[in-house]
Amino acid sequence: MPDSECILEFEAVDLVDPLYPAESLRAMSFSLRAGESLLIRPRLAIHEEKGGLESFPLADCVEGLWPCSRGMVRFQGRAWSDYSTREQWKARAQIGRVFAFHAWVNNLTVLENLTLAGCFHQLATASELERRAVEWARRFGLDGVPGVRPGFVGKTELRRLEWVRAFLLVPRLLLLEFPEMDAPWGVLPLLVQAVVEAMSRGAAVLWITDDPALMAEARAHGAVVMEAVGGQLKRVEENGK
Amino acid sequence: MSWLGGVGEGVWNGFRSVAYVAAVIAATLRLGVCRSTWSAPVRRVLVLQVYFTAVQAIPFVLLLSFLMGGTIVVQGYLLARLTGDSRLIGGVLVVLLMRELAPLVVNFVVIGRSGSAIAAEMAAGAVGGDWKTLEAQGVDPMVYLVTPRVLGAGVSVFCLTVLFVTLAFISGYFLSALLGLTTTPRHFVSLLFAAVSPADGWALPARTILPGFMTGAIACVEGLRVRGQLTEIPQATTRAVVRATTALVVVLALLTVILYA
Repeated sequence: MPDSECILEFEAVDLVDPLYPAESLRAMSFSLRAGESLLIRPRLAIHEEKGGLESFPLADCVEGLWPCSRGMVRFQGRAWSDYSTREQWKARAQIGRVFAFHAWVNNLTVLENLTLAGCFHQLATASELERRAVEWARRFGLDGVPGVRPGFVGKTELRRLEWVRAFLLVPRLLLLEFPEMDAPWGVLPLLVQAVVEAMSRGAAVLWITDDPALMAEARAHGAVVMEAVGGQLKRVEENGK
Repeated sequence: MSWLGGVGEGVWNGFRSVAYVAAVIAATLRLGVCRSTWSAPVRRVLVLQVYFTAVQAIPFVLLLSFLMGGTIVVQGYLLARLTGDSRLIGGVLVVLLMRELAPLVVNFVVIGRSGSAIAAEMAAGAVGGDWKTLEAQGVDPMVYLVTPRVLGAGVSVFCLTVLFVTLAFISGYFLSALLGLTTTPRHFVSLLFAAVSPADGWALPARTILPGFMTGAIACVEGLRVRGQLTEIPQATTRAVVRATTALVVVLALLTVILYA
């Protein structure tokens, strides 16, 4: 393990979604150090709302994009409020996220979507990012990265391309919201393998999923599993208790 | 609420909107002078904005300027015939066309073509969740979305106005030569220069760049304010066009008073 720096810390965080107050989570406390993995099994995390789909804003809260009504979220040892605006955006670029639902900017091509954050923060050149993206895409069983807009690419390819984006900038934190959704059979082990390698490089991993197969895989690689019960996060042991 | 309270609330909200747009423009200018703002994706958005706003509008603006230049020269000709002073043609062209009409017409064109497009694009992205995706990846919407659009709109309005004035003067010269009001290009230019005042050096940039910034900022603000519903996209677009037009007329009137009164 490169270090055991605390990557993500929730300290007595209350997360209240005004749309779904019954599903609020209270007094969440946990921490994720480099190389550690945590799986949160949300209850009723997915909603059909206004003709589209929305998820409970736990991942947004991790990224400092959703205000917690109480408590503090720290990323790499600092509360989001302690970062300057510019530092906040840079810090978010170190989080590789797979989104529960909407994941693409529709007026950019898929390749531009993949390389945008890296180019924006000038972390690598566009050609270098493109080379890395193609490598990752092949690793996840794709032929390459499409140069068309996301609307012209199938769901299963898009989901794997989201995985590509999550790993592209060598993230400190992997935030994987329902990464199994729309993924074709047989490719999830490729994702798990990539996650395990990222952990060995010092990344922390937060899974948000209720997929039993993924849960078993994550647990097999040392993930702690927690479940939202009665408005609180409770640790779930391997026998399901 | 009493009617007086309603009026007060309306005025207060108006001030708040103006202050908000002014703050957006100030933030844009501050970001615009930071070297770190201009990463490759942001430069690309700026180039595309100038292309859509200025380059694609050139044929329409040229047509308008040709027709208006001619129209004003004819009006000037009638005025000169009434007064018996052919030098009036230069004054009419400078005062009406360069100071007032060109910035007004070009700004209208930019509001109609690009202000509405920016507002619709921003609103569609907000409804579709595109901008939330950007934020989650660490891409600052103020830097990536707003700054290049606001600056691009300002630069485009200025360039289009210079083009508009130039072609209007050229068409005005040919028409005035045809009507026998002027003989040589040198004579025509001397008529124009005789009518130009020192304030015009400030007036053209002020009357084009500032309203251009306002159009970009208002369109972005109205578009990004949308939450949730597809039906809000046309409403935001209309609101942006109406507010940008109102702001344009007010600012041009204020600048006329400040610069020439």
